[in-house]
Amino acid sequence: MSEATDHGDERLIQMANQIATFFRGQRSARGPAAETADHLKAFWTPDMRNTFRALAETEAGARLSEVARDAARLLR
Amino acid sequence: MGLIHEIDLGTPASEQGVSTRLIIDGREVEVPAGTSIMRAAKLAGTTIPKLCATDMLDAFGSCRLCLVEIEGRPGTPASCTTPVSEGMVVRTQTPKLAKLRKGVMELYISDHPLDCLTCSANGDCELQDMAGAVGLRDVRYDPKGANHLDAVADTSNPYFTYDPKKCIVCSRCVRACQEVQGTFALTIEGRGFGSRVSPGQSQPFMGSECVSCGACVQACPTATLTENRVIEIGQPEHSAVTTCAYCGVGCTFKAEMRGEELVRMVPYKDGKANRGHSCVKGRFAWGYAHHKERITKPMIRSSIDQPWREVSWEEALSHTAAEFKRIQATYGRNAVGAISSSRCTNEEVYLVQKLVRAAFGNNNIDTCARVCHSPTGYGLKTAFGTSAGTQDFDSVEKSDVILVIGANPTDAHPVFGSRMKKRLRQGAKLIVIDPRRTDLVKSPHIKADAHLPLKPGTNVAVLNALAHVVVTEGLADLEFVRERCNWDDFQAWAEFVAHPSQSPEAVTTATGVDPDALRHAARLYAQGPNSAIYYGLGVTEHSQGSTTVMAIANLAMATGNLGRPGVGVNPLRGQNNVQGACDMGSFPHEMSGYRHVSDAATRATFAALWGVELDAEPGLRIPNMLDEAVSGRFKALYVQGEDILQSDPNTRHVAAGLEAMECVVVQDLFLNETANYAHVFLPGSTFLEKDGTFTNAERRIQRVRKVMSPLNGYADWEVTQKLAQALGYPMAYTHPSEIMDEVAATTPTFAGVSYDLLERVGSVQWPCNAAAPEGTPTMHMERFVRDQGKFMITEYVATEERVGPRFPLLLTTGRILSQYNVGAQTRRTENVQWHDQDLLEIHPHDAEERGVRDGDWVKLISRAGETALRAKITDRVAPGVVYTTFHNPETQANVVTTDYSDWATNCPEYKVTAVQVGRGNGPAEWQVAYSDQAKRSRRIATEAAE
Repeated sequence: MSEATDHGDERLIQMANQIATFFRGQRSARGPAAETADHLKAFWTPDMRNTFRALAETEAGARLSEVARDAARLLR
Repeated sequence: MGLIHEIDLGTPASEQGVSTRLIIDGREVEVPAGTSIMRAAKLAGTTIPKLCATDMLDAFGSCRLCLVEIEGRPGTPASCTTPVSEGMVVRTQTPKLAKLRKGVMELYISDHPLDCLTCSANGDCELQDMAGAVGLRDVRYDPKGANHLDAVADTSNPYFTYDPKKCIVCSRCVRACQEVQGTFALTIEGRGFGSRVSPGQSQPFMGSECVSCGACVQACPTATLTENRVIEIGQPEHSAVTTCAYCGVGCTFKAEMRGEELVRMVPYKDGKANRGHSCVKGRFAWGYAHHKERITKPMIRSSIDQPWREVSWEEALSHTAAEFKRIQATYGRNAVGAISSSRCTNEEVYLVQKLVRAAFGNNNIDTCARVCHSPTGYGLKTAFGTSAGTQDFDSVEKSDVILVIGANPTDAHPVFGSRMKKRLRQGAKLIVIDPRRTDLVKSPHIKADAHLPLKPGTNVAVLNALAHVVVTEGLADLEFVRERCNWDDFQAWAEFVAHPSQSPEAVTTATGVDPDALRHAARLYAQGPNSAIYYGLGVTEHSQGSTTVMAIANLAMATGNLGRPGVGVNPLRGQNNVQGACDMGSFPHEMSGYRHVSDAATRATFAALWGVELDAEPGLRIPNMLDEAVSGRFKALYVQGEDILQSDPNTRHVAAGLEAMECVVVQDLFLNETANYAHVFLPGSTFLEKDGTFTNAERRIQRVRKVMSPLNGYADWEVTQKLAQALGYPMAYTHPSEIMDEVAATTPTFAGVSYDLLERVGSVQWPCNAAAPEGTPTMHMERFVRDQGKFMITEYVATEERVGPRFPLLLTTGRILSQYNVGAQTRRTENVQWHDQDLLEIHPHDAEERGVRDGDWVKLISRAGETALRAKITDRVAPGVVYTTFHNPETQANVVTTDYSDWATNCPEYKVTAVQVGRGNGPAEWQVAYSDQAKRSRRIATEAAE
């Protein structure tokens, strides 16, 4: 586990990966990363999104799926 | 104000539409064909004497009191069993009939105690009434002849007494147990004069299969089956119609009172959810309202290791307000939040979320639906455009096939379970998808046509396989899909489920379900013609809970089973007002009526009315609040009527979150487990002590009526209002009806709802507005709320919670009939006689491997924690699966559940935890420590309050 993450951070990574997994399988003209990012905007607080976005830039980001990483970039 | 007397028409209504005219006692009467003469007479204002007949039960024709004469027909037929016919001429009062009836009554009274003046049913006895009605003045038979006057009463049931010497063997109790409740616990044993009502095989009630629903007591026309409260204190003198505060069925009851003392709760026949039936909880388990452990004074303490100090309401509220202000000033606006209660009224829930959004200035509001049906909200809104169940409960009477997945309605929603069983006995087919062999799978006169005992966590794979059969065998209703749904989405979905990898045969290893049984179930469901899906927390409380709800919606859309009575997608909601709590804006991302906080028009509506700017960003959900608390960023929580320490997963994490906060405020009836970590306790009020509304699982809004003064001085909505005032935010409602008026003014789906309307029509199902002024029993009749139904791809993803060598068994959790949720109410009633501790159900093979015997203490260990409880060996669970309930804090089943959760909503994965079970020798260390801590935490300093 990365030195920068705590229990809450690990949960964010896990949750983002779960969400991305769902949208990876959907039909969407906008693509799974955009759908994932939309979901995060609709359900996560700004603080959670900011933490997640920052996490995606650290070693912890390696534990994110490709879709989840792309979604983090779209949150900027 | 007096007692509400319901008219008994003697026999049930006929469903035949054709009108029939006849003459009764010289008056022309017009009724539907198939109506009994007895009912037709009563509808025309003529009462025919009766004892064995009641309109809750099919006609039986045994008492011979309701005889009539019919022109052109010989004899004196029973009016209850004789249907009307066109042109029939009936006489209900003739000298011949009078003589016959008097003779019948004489026989009844010859074997009945003549103790009317001291009888508990004095004034409420049909036998007494009939003696008067037929003019009985003496009894010719020798009282010393054979009789039953020495029969001994059965007092084994804590709530009612069976006194056989008063029994007239009319069989109403036996028939109520069969026809209404569907338990078949009662019978008539013996023959002729020796005939007696018998629970089981000459067993006492408590030793029989009786579930204490009260249907027999309600049906009894004499004092044979009587509530113990009536025996103890006498007959009630007034009553009010109100709504049960237990499960999401939302049964309507008459609260029958003596002054402010509740005598009994009697199910109300006009209640559209329960149709006059009840269960052991709503009917009898209300004694908690006056339990000695009820807290009625506010209390505060500086830290959780201190004893509580009773204070005035003013001090408690000003202290709370000061603490919340200090914390927001120190840690930021978002460091505080609240949890609203699914046990409180709509009006109270609305006020709590308003307090958060308007006075706290954030959206950190959540509710217990987070841990139960939040995936229903997400899944159904995605598929149909709104998150609610699609039908009313009456709909089940039109179903040909009933698919129950992840629900145990005979335990968790018992009155609806009885209505479902009635339909099954009439011939509807039943599919049960559940890891356990629930009572619905096999019980008297009920046998599932298909039981798919899947491995916990594989719902999506099973539903996809059902869809595979529907699509590949050409069973889809393409006409419905083309007309009502997005065709492109359907095609993509059909291609996905038709892939061989989704077939029953391909997924059998993962699911454990026999492919042939699954194919049989799919064909049954698809061919209905009216097929309905009912589901519960076995669907939602998974890491793929929302996906499962969407898979259910897909299946219903693909087979055209939506938009008419008898079909639909029906979430069975857990708590009495969990539907309402969601409707009223308890989610951190939604205002009332499920409108997202980012919607500027919605915010503008509330901002104009509330006089504040509203946050456009979603707030924290309960698990997020706890995570943030552990991380040191969330510091204060106002919890109304929830016990998250006991009900939420991973108890240690919940405790750590609560312990990390600086101000936890609990508003409840009792010092619950969460209160062990609280700094302020605000006493709550029961549903008997306030006015308001609850909304049940079928979207039905029903009145709750105050029948006694609150012991704490205030209804819960008044406490929230006072807290808002203490925080400097003005609220000045004088009655809950004003709060509902505000809901209606701001929420399009509630626009037509008012207390006046509810007084007039009894109850309404939302949407209730200009387009549907008296509500909407069936949703999506013409089109879906979102216009076209949306098929989603539902790929099965195995949970990350896996069994392995250390944790080889899967634990799944659930409920039991006699207890409710965390048991705070039911554990404080005589219901503990049915269930006084949580047990671990384990299959005989798994028990044998571990040397566990029935009743042994066993250790239950998961990656999250360990607890101990006693074992119950049963093949209700499959090998590899163990099961327990979460009603007792001494067990704390959630010590072992994990914080894995649904991908979309964070609803916890209660239903799948990898565990190991081993022999134990008593409570686990933590249980002993927790018990000590709880005891210390509940100390109340003896100084008098200011």
